[in-house]
Amino acid sequence: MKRLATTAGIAAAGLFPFLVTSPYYLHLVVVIAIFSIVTMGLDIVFGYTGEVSLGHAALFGVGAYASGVLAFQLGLGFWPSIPVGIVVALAFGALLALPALRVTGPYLAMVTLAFGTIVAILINEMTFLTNGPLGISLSKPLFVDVRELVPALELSRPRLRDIEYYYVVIAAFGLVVVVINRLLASRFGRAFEALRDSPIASDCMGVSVYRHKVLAFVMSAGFAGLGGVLFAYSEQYIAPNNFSFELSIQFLLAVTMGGRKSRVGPILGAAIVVYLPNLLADIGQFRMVAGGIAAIAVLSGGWRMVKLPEERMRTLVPVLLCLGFFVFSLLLEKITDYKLTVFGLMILFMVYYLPEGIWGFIRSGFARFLTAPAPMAERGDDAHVWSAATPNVAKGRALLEVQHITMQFGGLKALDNVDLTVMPGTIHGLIGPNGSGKSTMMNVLTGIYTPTAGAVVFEGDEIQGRTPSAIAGTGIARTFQNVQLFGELSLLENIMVGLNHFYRGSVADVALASPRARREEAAARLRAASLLRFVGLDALAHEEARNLPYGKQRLLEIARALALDPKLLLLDEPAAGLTAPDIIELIAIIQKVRDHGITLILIEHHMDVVMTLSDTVTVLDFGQKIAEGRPAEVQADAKVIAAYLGGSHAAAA
Amino acid sequence: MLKVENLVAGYGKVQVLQDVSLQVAQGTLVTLIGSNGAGKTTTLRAISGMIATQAGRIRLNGAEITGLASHQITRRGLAHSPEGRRVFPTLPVADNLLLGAFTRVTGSRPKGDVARDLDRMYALFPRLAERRAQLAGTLSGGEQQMLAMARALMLDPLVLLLDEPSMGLAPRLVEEVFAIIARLKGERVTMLLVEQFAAAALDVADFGYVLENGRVTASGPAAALKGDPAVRAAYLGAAH
Repeated sequence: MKRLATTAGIAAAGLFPFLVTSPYYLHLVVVIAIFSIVTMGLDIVFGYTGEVSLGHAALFGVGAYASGVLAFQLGLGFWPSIPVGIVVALAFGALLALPALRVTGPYLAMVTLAFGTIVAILINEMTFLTNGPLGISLSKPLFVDVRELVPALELSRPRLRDIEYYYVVIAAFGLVVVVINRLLASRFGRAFEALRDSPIASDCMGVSVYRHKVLAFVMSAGFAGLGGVLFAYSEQYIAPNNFSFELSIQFLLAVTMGGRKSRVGPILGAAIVVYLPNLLADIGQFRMVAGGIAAIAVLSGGWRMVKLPEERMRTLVPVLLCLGFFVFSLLLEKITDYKLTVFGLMILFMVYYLPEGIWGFIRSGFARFLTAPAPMAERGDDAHVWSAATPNVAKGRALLEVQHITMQFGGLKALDNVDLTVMPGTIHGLIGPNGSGKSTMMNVLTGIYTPTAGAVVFEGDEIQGRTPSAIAGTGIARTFQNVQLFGELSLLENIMVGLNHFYRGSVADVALASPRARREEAAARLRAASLLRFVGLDALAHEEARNLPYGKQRLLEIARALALDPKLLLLDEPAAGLTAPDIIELIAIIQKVRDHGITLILIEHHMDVVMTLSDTVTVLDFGQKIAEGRPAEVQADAKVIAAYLGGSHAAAA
Repeated sequence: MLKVENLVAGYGKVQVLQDVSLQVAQGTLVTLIGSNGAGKTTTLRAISGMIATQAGRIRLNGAEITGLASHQITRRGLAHSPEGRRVFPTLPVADNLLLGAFTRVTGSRPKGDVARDLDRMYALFPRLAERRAQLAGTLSGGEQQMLAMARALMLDPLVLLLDEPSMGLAPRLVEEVFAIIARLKGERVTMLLVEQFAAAALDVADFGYVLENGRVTASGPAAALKGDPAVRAAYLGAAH
């Protein structure tokens, strides 16, 4: 089905210049393809990482002006300006993203907004370089004079130039679709979605949120730059006002209207944004399109009302609005006065009724008819659960030493001069009342907090103050008390994010689909499927993680943490919310992990779990260590009973 | 008071509840037990309108509430204390509690004396009284759980849904939470309880339902269920 559509698309694109001879429509398609390159690139940032860029018009302009300046100042032509335009845009992208993405929040939007303004002003003012407001003229190259090869061909020189340029742009467009598809299906795409769903878990899986956000933005800038170069030669004239702030908004709108997180959506959006001004200039066409929309709305709405009678009213409103829009178009005498009004109404309608964009709407509509293709069966096996025989740790000395750790929040000392020594190959229980500092300890150990005082020594190195992703890289993995999964990724993909450390292939490997990239991807899939099998979730490999029941989510977190090949695994309340039979299963899994040679720290309130598994138990209360020792000793300790265990458990001990 | 008939519901394409029927009589405490993924939390979420029902009927105090939005259901007197607490972390304890009474102020139900109920909550949960000006996010896990329960009670509900009130709590606090549930039962608050500690839940409840793969497979007086060998083996575990 997909292959058929692709072949048909390529054939249509190939024949288009001969079927439609009007140069106007040829140019229109070229501009749509160019805008699509930019919007598909923008979707990486906006759809996948969830950041907003208001500066893509400026990056687009930077690419265009790079080729303009090359031609104007140095007399260089089309081909050299392609790499130069991309590289300059990449450089500007990095310049913006490196500082702006250090902090979370709407900073990227603000920084890119400022950048857009500055670029527009600079292009205007730097006359010596850019020829200022006068703009730069370029001429479309004639790549090969086909008429010399095939004399029978009767084409004028400009027509031939246009056709050749059309093919170059379409080829670039096709290449961009393929490359973006590959990038987003790779570990990079998974990382982008992971950091949007749970930044904290990404960092703790060794996927640096900061680095991957910058990477996404820089990639996206490169595509904008490429689009800019193609645009400059397609228009043959560029001026500062081509790349205003409104264009950035149009790019964002195109992605939103078309539908995020897809290739089709941004392309549809680009087509709308490019074609809309033409449509709004011609009342006849406008009426036709409005009528078409009304017809679609009546048909699909009517079908929906029959199928879902209880939502009749909710369906009726947008259908009536579409009909009203058609009537409005018939009543209008002249459209030009209402251009902006119509544009605004369209945006409102989209936001209210098509929040997933046009493509999202179509996709969910057709999902009822098409059964999704059966996903590839994932075959995991026992041989691929673990990567090495046993983690390589020095025996006989402490794996982890926490020395006099104090963690202060304002006036509150969440941890007060706590020591903790964890021997390799053991399970170390950490218990204490709620608010006693157990989770704070986890966050200190994994680099989410930098301790106020004291040292954390792991395998002889002090690791306090390092970033969470760096600490994850040294071999400390964790699960979270309030489960932190990547909700929109499948179970398998969640684990594959944890396997990020195992990949060596670069962005180029992925873009070119090199043998190494394919080999690594296949190996990671096998490993991930094997880990899923290990925790008993292999039947659900392709389910979205957010659809899992709570108890299963905790098991998935353990599998994901094991993907890091940790030497030390921190489990934060793995049994919370589990019923008795599930707890027995959990205990078996934890024992297998320990038998493999992985050291564990276990925070847990279920005393049967802690006391069955732990070799040593440490008890915290108000940030201080009040007891430590073998489980039976701790259970009999009067201070522990008073602060934590209470009556019934003390009696049981 | 609460009656659920042949409920079918789920998330997206995943149908979690196949056929769930249950009822909670006025002034009784009913518990729902089952393994993880059986649909306990989903049942509560479907009853309170947080997820859409695909089939079946839900009645509260004789009136049908199937298909209503969750805020409308709240307005009719059904309170839900959700799994994982979910207090408003940046508001003080007192404001959290007053927000629980929000629909009594704006809705059509009798307003009663909100201030009196606030005092009642402070009497029931003395720890919250000590911390009434503190931001809810800075409370410990156990205190947050008490706040979530108290906030739900501020609705002066016809029925209270309690989802995993003991989750993530220290053993001593687990005892405390069950003591509070027993006290509420003594005050004849109508409750539907989902608990990981199935044995403890059956100890305090009047009636119980066993849920398996989205269907009710057994039900009966709590004491009888607790004595049932099949239930003991499957849900109460060897430890109890």
